[in-house]
Amino acid sequence: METIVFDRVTKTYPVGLRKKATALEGLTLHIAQGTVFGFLGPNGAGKSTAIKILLNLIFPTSGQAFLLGKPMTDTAVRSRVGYLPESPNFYDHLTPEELLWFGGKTSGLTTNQIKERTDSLLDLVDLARVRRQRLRTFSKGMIQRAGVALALVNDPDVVILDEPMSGLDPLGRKLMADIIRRLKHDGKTVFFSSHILHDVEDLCDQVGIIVKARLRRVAGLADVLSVPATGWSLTVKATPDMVHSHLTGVTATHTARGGLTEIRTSEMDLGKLLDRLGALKEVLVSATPLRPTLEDILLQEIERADGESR
Amino acid sequence: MTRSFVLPIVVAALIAGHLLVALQLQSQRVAMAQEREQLGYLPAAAIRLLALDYRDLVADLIFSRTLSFHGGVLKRGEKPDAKTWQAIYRRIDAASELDPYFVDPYYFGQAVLTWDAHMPKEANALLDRGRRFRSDDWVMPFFMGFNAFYFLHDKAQGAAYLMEASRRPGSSPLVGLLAARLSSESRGTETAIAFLQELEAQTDDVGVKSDLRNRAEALRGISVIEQAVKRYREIFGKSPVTLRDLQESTILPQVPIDPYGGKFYIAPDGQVWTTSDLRPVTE
Amino acid sequence: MKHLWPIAKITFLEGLRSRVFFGLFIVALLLFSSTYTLSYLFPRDVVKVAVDLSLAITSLVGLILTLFLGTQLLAKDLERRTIHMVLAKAVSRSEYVVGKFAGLSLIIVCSMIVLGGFAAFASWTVDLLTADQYGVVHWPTFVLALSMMTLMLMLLASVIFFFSSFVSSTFLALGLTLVIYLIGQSVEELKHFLETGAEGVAISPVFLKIVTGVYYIFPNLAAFNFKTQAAHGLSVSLSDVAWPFLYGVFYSGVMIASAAWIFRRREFT
Repeated sequence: METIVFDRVTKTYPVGLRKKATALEGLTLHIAQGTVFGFLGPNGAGKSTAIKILLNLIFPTSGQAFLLGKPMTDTAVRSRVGYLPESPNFYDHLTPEELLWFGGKTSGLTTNQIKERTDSLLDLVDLARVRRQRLRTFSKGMIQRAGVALALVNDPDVVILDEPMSGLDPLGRKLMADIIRRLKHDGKTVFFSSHILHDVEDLCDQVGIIVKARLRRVAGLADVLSVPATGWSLTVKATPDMVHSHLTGVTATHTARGGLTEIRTSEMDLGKLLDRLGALKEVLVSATPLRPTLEDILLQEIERADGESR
Repeated sequence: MTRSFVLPIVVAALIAGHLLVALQLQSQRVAMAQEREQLGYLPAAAIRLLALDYRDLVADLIFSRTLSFHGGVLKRGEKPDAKTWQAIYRRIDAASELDPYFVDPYYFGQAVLTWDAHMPKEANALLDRGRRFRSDDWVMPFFMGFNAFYFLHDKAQGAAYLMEASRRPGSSPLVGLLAARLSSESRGTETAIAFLQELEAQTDDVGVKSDLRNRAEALRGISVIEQAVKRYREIFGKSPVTLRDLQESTILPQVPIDPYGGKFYIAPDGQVWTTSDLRPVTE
Repeated sequence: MKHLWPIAKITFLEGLRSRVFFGLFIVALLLFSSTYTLSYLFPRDVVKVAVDLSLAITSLVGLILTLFLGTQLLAKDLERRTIHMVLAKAVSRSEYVVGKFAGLSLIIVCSMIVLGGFAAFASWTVDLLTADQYGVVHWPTFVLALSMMTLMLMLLASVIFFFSSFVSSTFLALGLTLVIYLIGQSVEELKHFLETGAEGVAISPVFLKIVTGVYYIFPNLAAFNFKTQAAHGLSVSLSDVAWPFLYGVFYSGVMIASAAWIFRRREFT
């Protein structure tokens, strides 16, 4: 059984009297248990829409979504799901303790279970000191962390995070990343949307790129990033003039970077170039294989999408 | 250096100016309010509608304002004209209509509408509501009976109301008696005296109380003379012409004093009255 | 419906700790302290006026409380998107609406108990300090008036919920409910006035029909007013109480059920 399934989910909104805006078009996606899935795309691509349909906050115009085998309209299955909304707002006057009590009770936990989970979770997100303080006194980062605790209070099998890193300082982001890794280690399924590439690269097993309401590409991250290198980038401690003379017969480009020069060449010419540079006793600072980064791929898809709409 | 003084001076000047203007405004508003105290009113239905959930409180407010308006008029030594009395009556009636169980409008109405405003019919119209709603209150029909007898000269109606009053719980035992006497007596001076005594007991207003006492005393004087006249007739077989006749025949050694400052006399038709006409005689 | 209690409880806590709540009670205390002095302006019916005043203050403060908390607790939920965190838990839309209403009702009841306590104390003070000739407070009807007042406020809260279920702005929901309150308090009076004929004013039958229609659709809030009976200790029969009570229960039920039904169809972006 797949944990999360989108089956041709489409969502359109009426704009004015006759026109329609499409938020999602024919989204089809199958995510297996234990996967950390990163949903990547520019703002307004449809990431939040997909998540909200999954949680039955919005209704699809056509198509269906499934959580742990049950249709998205099933209320009971959400007791095994944890959700952190984007820029969460909670009731101002509650305390983290009360918030977690609420989350636990509605997920069917007993008071004792809730107490245990509360203690460990508040420690985890570093809010133990303020467990009895009202949420209105919290900073944005603290609220986000409280939200994480709430999402996890029922020890869910599926954790859905909408832009989890937004508003967090570097320490908070590290915390969030650690939590996601730990969830993976525990065999949970994590589904999160982000437009921060670094996080996705760092944490995900699978990546889905969504641009302008359509899912453009889905692949394992390893697959996406381990294509053969298209070339090499060498950084040498020399000025471009000095380097230029050595580049005859070699297909390469060079650019100045501060007091150093970066030389880009193909895989084939790498050997030749190294020989030339060695003969001149130029100092090689670094050598990196060139591969398309996630950023490249994303930009590629965005460009393609733009091209389609013209 | 001069800059540091300018601002405080400006502020002080503004405050002083403000105080002057505020005082002026206040006296203007007070004058306006006094003018407004012509006591306009809204029809009862409109008040009920606007009062929403707070009918009883609005009744209290209307009554309270009318009471203080009346008090203000008296304090200034003025006498309200007929139009003002009408307005006062309408206000009390409105208050009573909003809360017909509210007892103060009825007592106040009885105190002023009868003696001062000379509006006994309106007084009874008001009291009738009290009679209907305050079904355990004997004072309502008692007041109505008194008004019917004393002001409206309708003995039959007065008797009927008094009978009703006597049947209500807590009524003074005198009430039934009065009802019976009303039906029988010709002139009714004794009845009136008894009525006045009972009325005085039911009144809180000190001024009204002393008025009633004076009136009762004057009527007692008349009654004493009336009884003397009766005895004279029995003895001498003819009616006395003046008080002198009574005095000289030692039936009435001392002539009663009229608390209103007038002189008792025997009218040509044999009735006893006083030159004061039961109103304070002014020099 | 087993998740009602958690929702009701957090709604209760949230409302209880809001500043509006606290501020209103301070205002109420100040108003109640005026009861003693104001009652003495009256010659005879001193206790009646004390009861009038204290019940009126209770009614007014209760009304403001209900209107503000009612809009804050639901419409604000929608405005600020706090509802997302609730609905993402295993809570159905109906449970949400009913649970929140239960929480709000609990606040209203607790507030009215406290306010009613102040009202009772103020009236009792005046009663104690005046001779019995000026009347006594009849406690059973006093409590009855407070209870029916509370029911009326709960009905009003259900109306707020109904409007909030399809209207997005807190301001609009508040305004609509205020209009309903004004209509609800006056419609019975207006209908009666038109039926018994105004003093020489011609009534168009169409207008009368409209008012009759309004009378049946809008809640007749005047039916819950037992303040006159409390002020004078008038006797109240069981059916006098039973019918308004049932009316309140049914009307609120319709409002909340409709709100839940509308909510099922509503999207939360």
